[in-house]
Amino acid sequence: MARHNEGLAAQSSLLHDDQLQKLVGGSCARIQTELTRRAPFLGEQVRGWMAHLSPTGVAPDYFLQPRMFPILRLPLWAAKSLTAEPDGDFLADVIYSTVNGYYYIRLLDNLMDGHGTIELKILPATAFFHTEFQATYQKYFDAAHPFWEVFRSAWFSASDAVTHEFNLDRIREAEFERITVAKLAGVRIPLAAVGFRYGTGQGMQRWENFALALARWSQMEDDLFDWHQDLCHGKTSYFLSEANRCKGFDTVDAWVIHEGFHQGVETLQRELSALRDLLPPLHSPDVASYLDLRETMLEGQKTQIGEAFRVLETVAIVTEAPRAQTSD
Amino acid sequence: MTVQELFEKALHNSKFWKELSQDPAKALATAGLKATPGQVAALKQLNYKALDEVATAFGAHGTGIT
Repeated sequence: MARHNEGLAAQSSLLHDDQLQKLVGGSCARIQTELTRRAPFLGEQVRGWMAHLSPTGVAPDYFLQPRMFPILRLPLWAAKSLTAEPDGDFLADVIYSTVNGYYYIRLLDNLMDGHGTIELKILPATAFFHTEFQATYQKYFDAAHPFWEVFRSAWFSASDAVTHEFNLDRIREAEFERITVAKLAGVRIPLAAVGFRYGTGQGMQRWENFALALARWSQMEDDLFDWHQDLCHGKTSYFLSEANRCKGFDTVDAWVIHEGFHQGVETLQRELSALRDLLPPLHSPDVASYLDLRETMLEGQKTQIGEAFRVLETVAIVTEAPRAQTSD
Repeated sequence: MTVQELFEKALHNSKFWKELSQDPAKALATAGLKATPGQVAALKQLNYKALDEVATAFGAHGTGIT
């Protein structure tokens, strides 16, 4: 286990690279500066919300969590693979736009999922987030540029999928592939910006294909690790729909603990191996290292959570057994 | 206690697990239960530290894209 943790710590350094930390920190500071200047009352509320989202209370750390879908890393990795000297100001703008787009989605999504705290009170912040998400690209791509068709296509299909999924009572495999995964189409936007900026055609298609496949995998991972929160909030997911189908007379909790979690991790491990097939045309050691890290993290969680579930099962047997009688 | 109730305790009641790991018989008695010596011995063998990962993995902070 010690060797496993050392390996994880070493690989985690990849996820805390200075460039990303600097760009994310700069983006969060830029949001707060702009809001303070243009909408000070709202800005103060939003500052608290951004901090609250982060497990450390420091807004940029939210985007640097190892399990976070790498929506900010993908355009940086792509730029690095496409050009020897990426334009620093452009990448800062791509990250700034994407952070705004992310907060826009997070705010609406927390409300729709019932995870909200102060989201309803700061709902007008969506005007700021959406404007900054979109307007940042206007200095790079004029109104007739094909980038905007990608923007509309990705953004509208993601919005359509979010609405569609919200209205489903259960999600079977077909809906997962057609609707749930389509929610993540927004990842095409920063990648398209990088692609058009550096003049690649087919090269970008490969990155989009990989990003969408990784987004699919990340959604499966979210479904698995968010099952309890989803259950508590009455939100449906593919994993919970499968749990309800397979649990028999068990509760969902018991099914997950007895077999569902293990099955879910094994599926993720298989799908992660399949993602590696998309790696060669990307020419990106960063992406290969990222997949190595996720594989190591997943194996560690499988071991540790598997052990924890055995503790729960053993204690349940003892406390439910006839001889573990209620004391007088 | 059901496995479902114990899962909730893994998320929200670290005191229960601390007491169970330190003195299983006493912790069960506090919960209104009594166990055989063999069961107490079995409870002493468990790796309660592993439960920390349950709260980390399934706790309040989701990190997904949507």
